[in-house]
Amino acid sequence: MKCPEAVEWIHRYLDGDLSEEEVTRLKEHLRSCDDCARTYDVLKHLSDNLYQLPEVTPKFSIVDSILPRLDEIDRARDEEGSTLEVSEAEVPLMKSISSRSKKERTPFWRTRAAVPAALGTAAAVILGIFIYQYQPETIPNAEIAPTSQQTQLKKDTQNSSSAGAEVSTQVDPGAADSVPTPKDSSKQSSEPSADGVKKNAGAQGDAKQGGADHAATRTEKEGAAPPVSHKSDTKKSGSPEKTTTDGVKEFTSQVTEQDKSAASGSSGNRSMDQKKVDGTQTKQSGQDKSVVNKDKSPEKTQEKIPLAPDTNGFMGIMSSSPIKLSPDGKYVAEVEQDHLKVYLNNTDDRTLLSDITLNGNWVKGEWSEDSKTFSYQTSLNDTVKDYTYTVENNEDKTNSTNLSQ
Amino acid sequence: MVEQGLIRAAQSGDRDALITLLREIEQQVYRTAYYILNNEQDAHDAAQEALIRVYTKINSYEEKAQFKTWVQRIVTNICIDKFRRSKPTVSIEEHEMVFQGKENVERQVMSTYLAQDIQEAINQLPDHHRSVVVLRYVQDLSYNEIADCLDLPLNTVKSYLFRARQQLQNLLQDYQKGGVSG
Repeated sequence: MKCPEAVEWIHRYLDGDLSEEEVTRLKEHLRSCDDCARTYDVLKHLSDNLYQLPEVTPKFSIVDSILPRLDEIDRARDEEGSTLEVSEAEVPLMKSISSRSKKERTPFWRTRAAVPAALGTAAAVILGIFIYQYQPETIPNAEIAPTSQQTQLKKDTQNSSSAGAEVSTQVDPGAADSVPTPKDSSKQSSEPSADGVKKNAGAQGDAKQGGADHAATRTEKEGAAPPVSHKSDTKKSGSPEKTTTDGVKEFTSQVTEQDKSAASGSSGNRSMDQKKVDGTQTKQSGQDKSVVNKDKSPEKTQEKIPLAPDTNGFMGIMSSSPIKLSPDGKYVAEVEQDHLKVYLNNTDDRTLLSDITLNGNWVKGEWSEDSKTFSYQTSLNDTVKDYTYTVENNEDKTNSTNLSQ
Repeated sequence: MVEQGLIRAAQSGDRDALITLLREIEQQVYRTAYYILNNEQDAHDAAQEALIRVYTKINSYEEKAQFKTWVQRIVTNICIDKFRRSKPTVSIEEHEMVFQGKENVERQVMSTYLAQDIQEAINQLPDHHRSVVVLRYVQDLSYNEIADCLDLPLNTVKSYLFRARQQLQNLLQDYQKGGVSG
């Protein structure tokens, strides 16, 4: 073995790279070569010292020092993602809505408020989903409803000040884009523009939920302010919880809301209520106040009205084919094209009770508080007419299956 | 040794797992940076950059490679790329394979080199020679792992390491002779 090769092998030996046979050969050489033996000693010494290098540690936690930057990175990534789709859970429903309505507004998603709003709506969505399950047939409308709701909301804000003769609750036959200004104005009359703004903001979030339940969406929309009354006067607690659990109530509250608001001071609603239903409404108005209080948020009514008051809780907002669940949950009033159909809401399906041909376009409709009558309006040649449908099997709460036409 | 499960969790989007992973590798990242850059402040900066890069590129790590090697590659590249020193280093060729007289050798063998002397000597090495020494002795990587880290052929790694050792020896010899370390 020659010295140059031996020196190389010494290095390899120090790194544990020699086979046993090679080690033997190297040792043989070192035994007979002083120079190489010296080289070995020197290099071995150096290597030992190098192994002894102190295990230095950072003076402070480096991970802690970069956490803010990591957060920024995460935020940047989320924002990137949210432009494509909703960052929260409500992706599927909200996609169409957000792409439609959001684009017009400042990109809410990009603001910091979007995160808490999204979280809030996420919670609402989850609640809404539970409610959803009670009324599967309304699902198809869900996607439309939120959209219309949003558009409605927007318009509402604009029109909030107008007293609007007619109750704005009308349903949105045209879904998202169809929200007619007048409708909004009337409904929202009591609402201050501020509310509208809030609603819109909230609506966006709510829209996401997709009408899981009208109540929920409405309330969510309001965001922080309790959805209770759209009317300017208060944002009473419209306890969002209420809305989510009780689609029916919302319905009633819609009507009552108006009444309430009237009571609280928005005259517009009151008159609207009157208009809506002759007997029923008035009766309700008296009760509405209380109902409203206990139900959900008056706001719902306000907002709902413009959107699609006739829809049941879940959709809340507007749907092109409004569906309304009676307060007691027994009946479902659905508008299909030019027909108002009232069904008995069974557990698994529903039984058609009545099929009423509508004269004119559907404006809006609401159940009475006692679920005995359904009051609705249609417009024909710019004239709005009120109608009332009475459920014939009006006994107790038990579902009965008689069909009354 | 970092657990494979932790890495997988981090790659699947578990942010907490990813942060935990960063904390586990923080010291080894810092240590490499410190010995390559020979400067605490620079080492902190480089380590921060390296950890952020691990965080953002965690999904580019493939299990077939060693995680440690993947991490060391990141920190080494950052050290060499970002902190390339302008200060000239000694040429590795000058002192190749030359030893001083016997006496010096004996004196060297008897004494332990001062850590700061070793660090200073390491600091004198050219970038890649330095990196190889640090990866070999501070991180205990094998030739193959070092080759992976630095994207160098195996023989080049050996060559760099052997020459680096020789160079360090000469430098340390000079220090002791010249009484630099007192």
